[in-house]
Amino acid sequence: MRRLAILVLALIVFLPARASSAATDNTAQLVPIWPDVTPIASYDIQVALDIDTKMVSGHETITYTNSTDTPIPDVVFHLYLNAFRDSTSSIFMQESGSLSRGYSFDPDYPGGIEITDIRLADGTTLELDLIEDETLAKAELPEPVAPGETLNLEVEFQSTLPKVFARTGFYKDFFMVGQWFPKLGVWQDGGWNAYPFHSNSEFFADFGNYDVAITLPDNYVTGATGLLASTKANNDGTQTVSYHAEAVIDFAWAASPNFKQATRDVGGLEVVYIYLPEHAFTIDRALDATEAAVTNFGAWYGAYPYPRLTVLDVPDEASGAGGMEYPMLVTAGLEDPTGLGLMKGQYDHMLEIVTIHEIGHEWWYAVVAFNEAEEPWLDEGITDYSTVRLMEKEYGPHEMLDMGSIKMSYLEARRMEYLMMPETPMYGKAWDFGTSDYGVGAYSKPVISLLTLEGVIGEERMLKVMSTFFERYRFKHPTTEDFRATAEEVSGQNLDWFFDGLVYGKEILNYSVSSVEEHRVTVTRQGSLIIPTEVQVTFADGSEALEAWDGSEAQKTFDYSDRPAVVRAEIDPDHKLLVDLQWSDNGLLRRMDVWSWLAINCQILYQIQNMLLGEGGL
Amino acid sequence: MEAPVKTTSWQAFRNGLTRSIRYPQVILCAYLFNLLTGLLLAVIPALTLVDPAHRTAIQDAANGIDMWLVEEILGSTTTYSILQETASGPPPWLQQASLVVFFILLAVPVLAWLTASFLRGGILLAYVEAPQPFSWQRFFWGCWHWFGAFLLINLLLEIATLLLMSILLVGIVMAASAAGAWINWITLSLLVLIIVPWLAISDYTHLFAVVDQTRNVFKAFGKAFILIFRRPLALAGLFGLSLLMLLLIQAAFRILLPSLPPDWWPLVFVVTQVFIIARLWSRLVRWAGAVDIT
Repeated sequence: MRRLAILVLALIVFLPARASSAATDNTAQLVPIWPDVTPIASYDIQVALDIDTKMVSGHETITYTNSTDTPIPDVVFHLYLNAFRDSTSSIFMQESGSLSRGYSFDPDYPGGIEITDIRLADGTTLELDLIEDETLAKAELPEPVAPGETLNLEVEFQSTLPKVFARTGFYKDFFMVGQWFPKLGVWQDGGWNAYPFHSNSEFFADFGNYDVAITLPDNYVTGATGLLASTKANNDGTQTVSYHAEAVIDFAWAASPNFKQATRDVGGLEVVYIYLPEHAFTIDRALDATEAAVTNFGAWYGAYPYPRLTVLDVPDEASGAGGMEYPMLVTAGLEDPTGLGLMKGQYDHMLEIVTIHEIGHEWWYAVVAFNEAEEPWLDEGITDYSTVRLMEKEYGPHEMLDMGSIKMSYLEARRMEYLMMPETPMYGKAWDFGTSDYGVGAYSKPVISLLTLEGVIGEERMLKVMSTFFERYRFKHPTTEDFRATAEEVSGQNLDWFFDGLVYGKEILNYSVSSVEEHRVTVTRQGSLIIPTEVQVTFADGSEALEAWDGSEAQKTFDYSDRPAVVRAEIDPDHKLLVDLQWSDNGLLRRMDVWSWLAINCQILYQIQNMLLGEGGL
Repeated sequence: MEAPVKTTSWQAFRNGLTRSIRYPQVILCAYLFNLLTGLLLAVIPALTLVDPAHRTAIQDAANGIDMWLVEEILGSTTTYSILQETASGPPPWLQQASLVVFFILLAVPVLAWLTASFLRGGILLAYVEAPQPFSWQRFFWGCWHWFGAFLLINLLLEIATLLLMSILLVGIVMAASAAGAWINWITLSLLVLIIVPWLAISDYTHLFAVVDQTRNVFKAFGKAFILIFRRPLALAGLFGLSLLMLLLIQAAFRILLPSLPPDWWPLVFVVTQVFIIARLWSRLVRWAGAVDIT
């Protein structure tokens, strides 16, 4: 009956969208139906939110199907909130120093999760052992779950939300409820793939269906993964809101009495922006960015497969909850660092960057579900590469910051980070990285490397690689090697330089023109990374030559005895190789450019004079 | 007996304008010191840039701030150490790039301190003795006479400013994290209430030393401290008008500069130097006007 009600509701909600989607080819990509995916781990959850104690307590029924060919003797749960019991005891706190995303943990408002009862569908109680740092729990089963069999578990639990920290928690009457319920690990290769909650690590889970009913005060507005199936008034000042989602790997929700809602139809997809009144000025910006992301990522990689996308705003003081991805739900938010209303994003596009990045994860996390703990470079790197491409396309140059003479693009910011630690391998488990090299290994270097790969194989072929990879691994858990196989197959090239040199290795590259003589040009490669490139040579009569150079020799000389005198030479003139450590030595003139030299010195002199005045001097 | 009429901030500002224009030699001298000090420091990057001026990247840089180049200069220390392990090694200018930036950042405050301490005595003496005709001999006597005393007081004031600012910054961060960002409105108001009087104390310490013909800067500091309580509104008005003048100059320049082609350096040079002179002038107007509020 309940399923029928959901079906009827879904038909009502989506029929108009289906009708409009038939009108054009573009909208046909965004047909809002649930993906046809066999669920492995499904959750039916009923909880109540106590806004005074900041507790979420209730019951979950887990339906787990063993899709592997090995029997499963036990179950392992993630209890993520136990990482926030205090400032010191969990692995998360020890690794992070109780700091996450620039925010400190408040030990006066800890978090935690307790399973008060766990039994099988037939009523058999299971013994639960907390393991590692208590962010994992294990229960032996009386009988192993045979391949193809389904296990039903009934779990009573109580979650205490911390003051917003590491993506989850409360701030006053705002609640961001993420990583909040006992959640199964992933059974792989004869064991549970489930790690304690590490500070750099994100998440990994099986696909499943979620039915979540939340009872909370009736003046609260909610936003969540999935579709709102029903809202029921309880006549005691509370309401019960029920959400339904299919083919998702997680479920998160948020609630606040202050939330407002703006919606937009994007080619048949319902986009919802849930915002706080003080951020009403962000409505158009957030929805424009969302539309750009859904449309372009859909065209580049493949259609967004779910019927709704919710973008959630967070309070300035709870920015630790912003900038996070969940299936069908992302959190963004715009913080004014001055607190004076002076910086409302008028000089930057950080709101757009965060929104687009998190929506990118809908493709590269929610649908192509990488193991974020074991290979964080895949989801963060590919998503950030997508973000850089889209920001440049939609918002032009200097799209990140444009404040007078200070201008910067998102790509430039990422390259700056890369140049600080270019020898960081991209591949590695989240906890193999420190705080700073995690940013380089998982974000900056992948962006720079993937754009270099695009420069080498061409934009069209690169998009073909990405769309094939997306299509092939939708609702699966691919690895780096799966990406390698797809990239090499589709590009038709051996990509050892990319995978062995940059992903697994710490190879670096610096190409330079080392000398320009009248009839000779010498080019040099520093570092062991070898990427084919081009050398453009300009002669005195204005003619040019474009030489291919495979980079295999550390030094190579081109001879032009039969041509007019050489005036300049430049390696990689189109700046395709972003991994090149110094572009500034890529080009060389036979004679010094005095005019440009004077122009720069004129600027330097002016800056020094200004600094002298600024320092109180004359 | 009739009470002496107190000069208003507007009158002081107007007198400051008149006085500063009456002695263009002062503006010229201050500008030349600024230009020569700037040139002295600019020689080092100019020499460092001779080798990179053979690079095509110099043409990108000449067309305005090139963020790619800025990044490469900022990352040059890391790149240098990585390339050192390669067969051909890094180019020498790569190591020099960050060293030159570091040197300039270190040298600027020192030279600013020396030039300001030297010139201020002569400049204030000319304004205090207005409307007497300008005398270069008297001007340089003033510069030399107060040089040592002003070196000392400027050093002490600079240290005190650094301490004050550090304490304020820590306080702002702690207050904002404890109470929320709304408290920045209060701290911003408090900052204005602290910084403007602090600037006034600094200005008047120098002025009282010259007016009273003393090199006892501590006595002058005491008088300046008392003055900010005695004539707070007049001082606030004078500083406000000077700030407005500076803001107008800045605004005009910000509008004009982007329309100039950066690589057309002779025009850029003229415009930037006019701006430096205007900026200097706005400061001298404040100093010249301050003579009337004592």
